[in-house]
Amino acid sequence: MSNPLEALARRVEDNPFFLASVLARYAQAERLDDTGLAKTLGCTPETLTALRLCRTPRTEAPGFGEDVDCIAARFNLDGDRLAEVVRHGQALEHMAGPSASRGTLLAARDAQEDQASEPPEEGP
Amino acid sequence: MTGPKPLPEPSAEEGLRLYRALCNHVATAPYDFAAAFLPSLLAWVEERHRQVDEHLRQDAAHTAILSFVEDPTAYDPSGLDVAGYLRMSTQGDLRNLLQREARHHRRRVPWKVVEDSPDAGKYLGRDDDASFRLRIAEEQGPNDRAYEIVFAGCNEIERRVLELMHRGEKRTPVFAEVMGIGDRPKEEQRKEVKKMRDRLDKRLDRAKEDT
Repeated sequence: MSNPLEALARRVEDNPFFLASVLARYAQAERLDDTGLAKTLGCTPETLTALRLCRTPRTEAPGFGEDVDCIAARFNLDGDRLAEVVRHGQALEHMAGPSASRGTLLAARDAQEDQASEPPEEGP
Repeated sequence: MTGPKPLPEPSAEEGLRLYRALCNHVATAPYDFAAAFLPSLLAWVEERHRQVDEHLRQDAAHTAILSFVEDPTAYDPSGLDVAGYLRMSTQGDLRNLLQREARHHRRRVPWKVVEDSPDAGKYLGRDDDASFRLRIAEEQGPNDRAYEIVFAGCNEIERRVLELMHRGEKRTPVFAEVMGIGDRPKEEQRKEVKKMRDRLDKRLDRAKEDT
Protein backbone atom coordinates (compact mmCIF):
# COMPACT_ATOMS: atom_id res chain seq x y z
CA MET A 1 0.00 0.00 0.00
CA SER A 2 1.33 3.47 -0.84
CA ASN A 3 1.95 5.97 1.91
CA PRO A 4 -1.38 7.79 2.52
CA LEU A 5 0.55 10.94 3.38
CA GLU A 6 2.13 11.08 -0.08
CA ALA A 7 -1.04 12.32 -1.80
CA LEU A 8 -1.67 14.83 0.97
CA ALA A 9 1.88 16.15 0.66
CA ARG A 10 1.41 16.59 -3.09
CA ARG A 11 -1.84 18.42 -2.54
CA VAL A 12 -0.21 21.14 -0.43
CA GLU A 13 2.62 21.98 -2.83
CA ASP A 14 0.94 25.25 -3.73
CA ASN A 15 0.01 26.11 -0.16
CA PRO A 16 2.49 28.54 1.44
CA PHE A 17 1.49 27.32 4.91
CA PHE A 18 3.39 24.10 4.23
CA LEU A 19 7.09 23.52 3.65
CA ALA A 20 6.04 21.64 0.50
CA SER A 21 5.58 24.94 -1.33
CA VAL A 22 9.09 26.16 -0.54
CA LEU A 23 10.63 22.79 -1.42
CA ALA A 24 8.70 22.70 -4.71
CA ARG A 25 9.94 26.15 -5.57
CA TYR A 26 13.54 25.17 -4.81
CA ALA A 27 13.31 21.87 -6.71
CA GLN A 28 11.82 23.61 -9.72
CA ALA A 29 14.60 26.20 -9.81
CA GLU A 30 17.32 23.60 -9.36
CA ARG A 31 15.63 21.14 -11.76
CA LEU A 32 15.55 18.42 -9.14
CA ASP A 33 13.21 15.46 -9.01
CA ASP A 34 12.27 13.87 -5.67
CA THR A 35 15.40 11.75 -5.59
CA GLY A 36 17.59 14.78 -6.26
CA LEU A 37 15.81 16.88 -3.66
CA ALA A 38 16.07 14.13 -1.06
CA LYS A 39 19.78 13.80 -1.84
CA THR A 40 20.29 17.54 -1.46
CA LEU A 41 18.60 17.47 1.92
CA GLY A 42 20.35 14.26 2.93
CA CYS A 43 17.17 12.30 3.58
CA THR A 44 15.07 9.44 2.23
CA PRO A 45 12.04 9.97 -0.06
CA GLU A 46 9.79 8.99 2.87
CA THR A 47 11.29 11.73 5.00
CA LEU A 48 10.78 14.13 2.12
CA THR A 49 7.03 13.44 2.33
CA ALA A 50 7.11 14.22 6.04
CA LEU A 51 9.08 17.42 5.46
CA ARG A 52 6.55 18.62 2.91
CA LEU A 53 3.82 18.39 5.55
CA CYS A 54 5.71 20.50 8.08
CA ARG A 55 4.85 24.13 8.58
CA THR A 56 6.92 26.60 6.57
CA PRO A 57 9.47 28.17 8.92
CA ARG A 58 8.83 31.74 9.91
CA THR A 59 10.87 34.17 7.82
CA GLU A 60 12.07 36.42 10.64
CA ALA A 61 14.80 35.64 13.18
CA PRO A 62 14.81 34.05 15.69
CA GLY A 63 11.69 32.17 14.54
CA PHE A 64 13.35 30.96 11.35
CA GLY A 65 16.25 29.32 13.19
CA GLU A 66 13.97 27.81 15.81
CA ASP A 67 11.67 26.29 13.22
CA VAL A 68 14.49 24.95 11.05
CA ASP A 69 16.20 23.47 14.11
CA CYS A 70 12.92 21.86 15.19
CA ILE A 71 12.44 20.22 11.80
CA ALA A 72 16.09 19.21 11.42
CA ALA A 73 16.19 17.66 14.88
CA ARG A 74 12.94 15.77 14.34
CA PHE A 75 14.10 14.17 11.09
CA ASN A 76 17.81 14.00 11.83
CA LEU A 77 18.81 16.39 9.05
CA ASP A 78 21.71 18.78 8.61
CA GLY A 79 20.18 22.03 9.89
CA ASP A 80 22.51 24.27 7.87
CA ARG A 81 21.67 22.50 4.62
CA LEU A 82 17.94 22.62 5.36
CA ALA A 83 18.18 26.32 6.24
CA GLU A 84 19.96 27.01 2.95
CA VAL A 85 17.28 25.21 0.90
CA VAL A 86 14.44 26.88 2.79
CA ARG A 87 15.98 30.36 2.48
CA HIS A 88 16.49 29.82 -1.24
CA GLY A 89 12.94 28.53 -1.72
CA GLN A 90 11.46 31.38 0.32
CA ALA A 91 13.41 33.93 -1.72
CA LEU A 92 12.08 32.38 -4.92
CA GLU A 93 8.54 32.47 -3.54
CA HIS A 94 9.00 36.09 -2.53
CA MET A 95 10.24 37.00 -6.02
CA ALA A 96 7.37 35.13 -7.66
CA GLY A 97 4.92 37.15 -5.55
CA PRO A 98 1.50 36.21 -4.27
CA SER A 99 0.11 35.78 -7.78
CA ALA A 100 2.34 32.79 -8.47
CA SER A 101 -0.09 29.98 -8.99
CA ARG A 102 -0.16 26.25 -8.58
CA GLY A 103 -0.60 26.04 -12.33
CA THR A 104 2.87 27.41 -12.90
CA LEU A 105 4.43 24.83 -10.62
CA LEU A 106 2.42 21.96 -12.01
CA ALA A 107 3.13 22.95 -15.60
CA ALA A 108 6.83 23.09 -14.81
CA ARG A 109 6.70 19.67 -13.17
CA ASP A 110 4.69 18.21 -16.04
CA ALA A 111 7.27 19.53 -18.46
CA GLN A 112 10.06 17.96 -16.40
CA GLU A 113 8.20 14.64 -16.24
CA ASP A 114 7.52 14.74 -19.97
CA GLN A 115 11.20 15.27 -20.63
CA ALA A 116 12.14 12.46 -18.26
CA SER A 117 9.63 10.02 -19.78
CA GLU A 118 10.54 10.71 -23.39
CA PRO A 119 12.39 7.79 -24.97
CA PRO A 120 16.01 8.53 -25.82
CA GLU A 121 16.56 9.62 -29.38
CA GLU A 122 17.70 6.85 -31.62
CA GLY A 123 21.06 7.28 -33.25
CA PRO A 124 21.51 7.39 -37.04
CA MET B 1 -18.94 -12.54 9.54
CA THR B 2 -16.94 -9.62 10.80
CA GLY B 3 -15.36 -6.92 8.67
CA PRO B 4 -11.75 -5.85 8.73
CA LYS B 5 -10.54 -4.54 12.06
CA PRO B 6 -10.64 -0.72 12.03
CA LEU B 7 -7.31 1.07 12.15
CA PRO B 8 -6.54 2.32 15.65
CA GLU B 9 -6.84 6.05 16.00
CA PRO B 10 -5.00 8.26 18.48
CA SER B 11 -6.50 8.49 21.96
CA ALA B 12 -8.38 11.61 23.03
CA GLU B 13 -5.35 12.61 25.11
CA GLU B 14 -2.98 12.20 22.16
CA GLY B 15 -5.38 14.20 20.00
CA LEU B 16 -5.33 17.01 22.54
CA ARG B 17 -1.54 16.96 22.66
CA LEU B 18 -1.31 17.24 18.88
CA TYR B 19 -3.95 19.97 18.84
CA ARG B 20 -1.96 22.00 21.37
CA ALA B 21 1.22 21.58 19.33
CA LEU B 22 -0.63 23.00 16.31
CA CYS B 23 -1.90 25.93 18.39
CA ASN B 24 1.67 26.58 19.55
CA HIS B 25 2.87 26.71 15.92
CA VAL B 26 5.34 23.84 16.34
CA ALA B 27 6.87 23.47 12.85
CA THR B 28 6.57 19.68 12.74
CA ALA B 29 3.05 19.56 14.25
CA PRO B 30 1.14 19.51 10.93
CA TYR B 31 3.05 16.39 9.86
CA ASP B 32 2.61 14.70 13.24
CA PHE B 33 -1.10 15.47 13.20
CA ALA B 34 -1.64 14.17 9.65
CA ALA B 35 0.45 11.05 10.28
CA ALA B 36 -1.54 10.30 13.43
CA PHE B 37 -5.06 10.85 12.08
CA LEU B 38 -5.09 10.42 8.31
CA PRO B 39 -4.78 6.60 8.04
CA SER B 40 -7.66 5.87 10.41
CA LEU B 41 -9.76 8.67 8.92
CA LEU B 42 -9.29 7.26 5.41
CA ALA B 43 -10.18 3.79 6.68
CA TRP B 44 -13.30 5.16 8.38
CA VAL B 45 -14.58 7.05 5.34
CA GLU B 46 -13.91 4.02 3.13
CA GLU B 47 -15.81 1.74 5.47
CA ARG B 48 -18.75 4.13 5.77
CA HIS B 49 -18.98 5.19 2.12
CA ARG B 50 -17.74 2.25 0.07
CA GLN B 51 -20.00 3.19 -2.85
CA VAL B 52 -18.48 6.68 -3.18
CA ASP B 53 -15.56 7.27 -5.52
CA GLU B 54 -12.21 6.69 -3.81
CA HIS B 55 -10.81 10.05 -4.90
CA LEU B 56 -13.74 11.93 -3.42
CA ARG B 57 -13.36 10.05 -0.13
CA GLN B 58 -9.69 10.87 -0.04
CA ASP B 59 -10.34 14.50 -0.98
CA ALA B 60 -12.84 14.86 1.88
CA ALA B 61 -10.46 13.34 4.44
CA HIS B 62 -7.61 15.54 3.20
CA THR B 63 -9.76 18.66 3.39
CA ALA B 64 -10.77 17.85 6.96
CA ILE B 65 -7.14 17.33 8.03
CA LEU B 66 -5.85 20.43 6.26
CA SER B 67 -8.64 22.65 7.60
CA PHE B 68 -7.84 21.51 11.13
CA VAL B 69 -4.09 21.94 10.73
CA GLU B 70 -4.33 25.41 9.24
CA ASP B 71 -6.83 26.71 11.77
CA PRO B 72 -6.82 24.58 14.93
CA THR B 73 -8.58 27.35 16.86
CA ALA B 74 -11.83 26.44 15.07
CA TYR B 75 -11.87 23.26 17.16
CA ASP B 76 -13.46 23.40 20.61
CA PRO B 77 -11.72 20.86 22.85
CA SER B 78 -14.62 20.91 25.31
CA GLY B 79 -16.81 19.19 22.70
CA LEU B 80 -16.07 16.14 20.59
CA ASP B 81 -12.63 14.57 20.74
CA VAL B 82 -10.34 15.35 17.79
CA ALA B 83 -11.01 12.05 15.99
CA GLY B 84 -14.78 12.54 16.25
CA TYR B 85 -14.47 16.12 15.07
CA LEU B 86 -12.44 15.03 12.04
CA ARG B 87 -14.99 12.36 11.15
CA MET B 88 -17.81 14.88 11.36
CA SER B 89 -15.82 17.35 9.28
CA THR B 90 -15.01 14.68 6.67
CA GLN B 91 -18.68 13.77 6.44
CA GLY B 92 -19.58 17.40 5.76
CA ASP B 93 -16.77 17.83 3.25
CA LEU B 94 -17.82 14.66 1.44
CA ARG B 95 -21.39 15.87 1.22
CA ASN B 96 -20.21 19.18 -0.26
CA LEU B 97 -17.99 17.41 -2.78
CA LEU B 98 -20.79 15.11 -3.88
CA GLN B 99 -23.22 17.98 -4.23
CA ARG B 100 -20.67 19.85 -6.32
CA GLU B 101 -20.13 16.77 -8.47
CA ALA B 102 -23.88 16.32 -8.91
CA ARG B 103 -24.24 19.95 -10.01
CA HIS B 104 -21.38 19.49 -12.44
CA HIS B 105 -23.02 16.41 -13.97
CA ARG B 106 -26.38 18.13 -14.29
CA ARG B 107 -24.75 21.02 -16.17
CA ARG B 108 -23.22 18.58 -18.64
CA VAL B 109 -26.62 17.34 -19.85
CA PRO B 110 -27.22 18.74 -23.36
CA TRP B 111 -29.67 21.63 -23.46
CA LYS B 112 -31.90 19.80 -25.92
CA VAL B 113 -32.37 16.96 -23.44
CA VAL B 114 -33.11 19.38 -20.63
CA GLU B 115 -35.66 21.28 -22.69
CA ASP B 116 -37.44 18.13 -23.84
CA SER B 117 -37.45 16.36 -20.52
CA PRO B 118 -40.78 16.30 -18.64
CA ASP B 119 -38.70 16.36 -15.45
CA ALA B 120 -36.75 19.46 -16.44
CA GLY B 121 -35.52 21.34 -13.41
CA LYS B 122 -36.73 18.74 -10.95
CA TYR B 123 -34.48 16.87 -8.58
CA LEU B 124 -34.97 13.20 -9.37
CA GLY B 125 -32.61 11.59 -6.90
CA ARG B 126 -31.35 8.89 -9.20
CA ASP B 127 -28.19 6.86 -9.32
CA ASP B 128 -26.42 9.36 -11.56
CA ASP B 129 -26.59 11.89 -8.74
CA ALA B 130 -23.60 11.31 -6.48
CA SER B 131 -25.10 13.07 -3.47
CA PHE B 132 -28.08 10.73 -3.77
CA ARG B 133 -25.73 7.80 -3.27
CA LEU B 134 -24.46 9.36 -0.07
CA ARG B 135 -27.95 9.97 1.24
CA ILE B 136 -28.88 6.38 0.49
CA ALA B 137 -25.81 5.20 2.37
CA GLU B 138 -26.72 7.37 5.32
CA GLU B 139 -30.30 6.12 5.30
CA GLN B 140 -29.08 2.54 5.23
CA GLY B 141 -27.09 3.05 8.44
CA PRO B 142 -28.36 1.27 11.55
CA ASN B 143 -31.51 2.86 12.88
CA ASP B 144 -30.63 6.19 11.31
CA ARG B 145 -34.22 7.30 11.00
CA ALA B 146 -34.86 6.83 14.70
CA TYR B 147 -31.56 8.53 15.42
CA GLU B 148 -32.52 11.58 13.34
CA ILE B 149 -35.89 11.83 15.11
CA VAL B 150 -34.34 11.70 18.56
CA PHE B 151 -31.48 14.00 17.55
CA ALA B 152 -33.94 16.66 16.39
CA GLY B 153 -35.54 16.76 19.85
CA CYS B 154 -32.30 16.93 21.86
CA ASN B 155 -30.59 19.87 23.48
CA GLU B 156 -26.94 20.62 22.67
CA ILE B 157 -25.40 18.33 25.29
CA GLU B 158 -27.79 15.47 24.54
CA ARG B 159 -26.90 15.78 20.85
CA ARG B 160 -23.20 15.44 21.61
CA VAL B 161 -23.85 12.41 23.79
CA LEU B 162 -26.09 10.91 21.11
CA GLU B 163 -23.37 11.41 18.48
CA LEU B 164 -20.90 9.60 20.71
CA MET B 165 -23.33 6.73 21.24
CA HIS B 166 -23.98 6.57 17.51
CA ARG B 167 -20.25 6.24 16.89
CA GLY B 168 -20.04 3.39 19.36
CA GLU B 169 -18.13 5.31 22.01
CA LYS B 170 -18.03 3.39 25.32
CA ARG B 171 -15.65 5.32 27.56
CA THR B 172 -17.28 7.09 30.50
CA PRO B 173 -14.66 9.87 30.72
CA VAL B 174 -15.34 10.83 27.10
CA PHE B 175 -19.06 11.16 27.79
CA ALA B 176 -18.36 12.98 31.06
CA GLU B 177 -16.18 15.51 29.27
CA VAL B 178 -18.89 16.24 26.71
CA MET B 179 -21.46 16.56 29.49
CA GLY B 180 -19.25 19.02 31.35
CA ILE B 181 -18.88 16.81 34.44
CA GLY B 182 -15.30 15.68 33.81
CA ASP B 183 -14.14 17.25 37.08
CA ARG B 184 -16.55 15.32 39.27
CA PRO B 185 -15.69 12.08 41.14
CA LYS B 186 -15.55 9.01 38.90
CA GLU B 187 -18.48 7.25 40.54
CA GLU B 188 -20.67 10.31 40.09
CA GLN B 189 -19.56 10.60 36.45
CA ARG B 190 -20.45 6.96 35.88
CA LYS B 191 -23.93 7.41 37.36
CA GLU B 192 -24.68 10.61 35.44
CA VAL B 193 -23.41 9.20 32.15
CA LYS B 194 -25.45 6.03 32.63
CA LYS B 195 -28.56 8.07 33.42
CA MET B 196 -28.12 10.16 30.28
CA ARG B 197 -27.41 7.15 28.06
CA ASP B 198 -30.39 5.24 29.43
CA ARG B 199 -32.65 8.23 28.80
CA LEU B 200 -31.47 8.53 25.20
CA ASP B 201 -31.70 4.76 24.67
CA LYS B 202 -35.35 4.87 25.75
CA ARG B 203 -36.08 7.71 23.33
CA LEU B 204 -34.37 5.76 20.55
CA ASP B 205 -36.44 2.67 21.35
CA ARG B 206 -39.66 4.70 21.25
CA ALA B 207 -38.65 6.33 17.96
CA LYS B 208 -37.89 2.91 16.45
CA GLU B 209 -41.33 1.68 17.46
CA ASP B 210 -42.93 4.74 15.85
CA THR B 211 -41.09 4.39 12.53
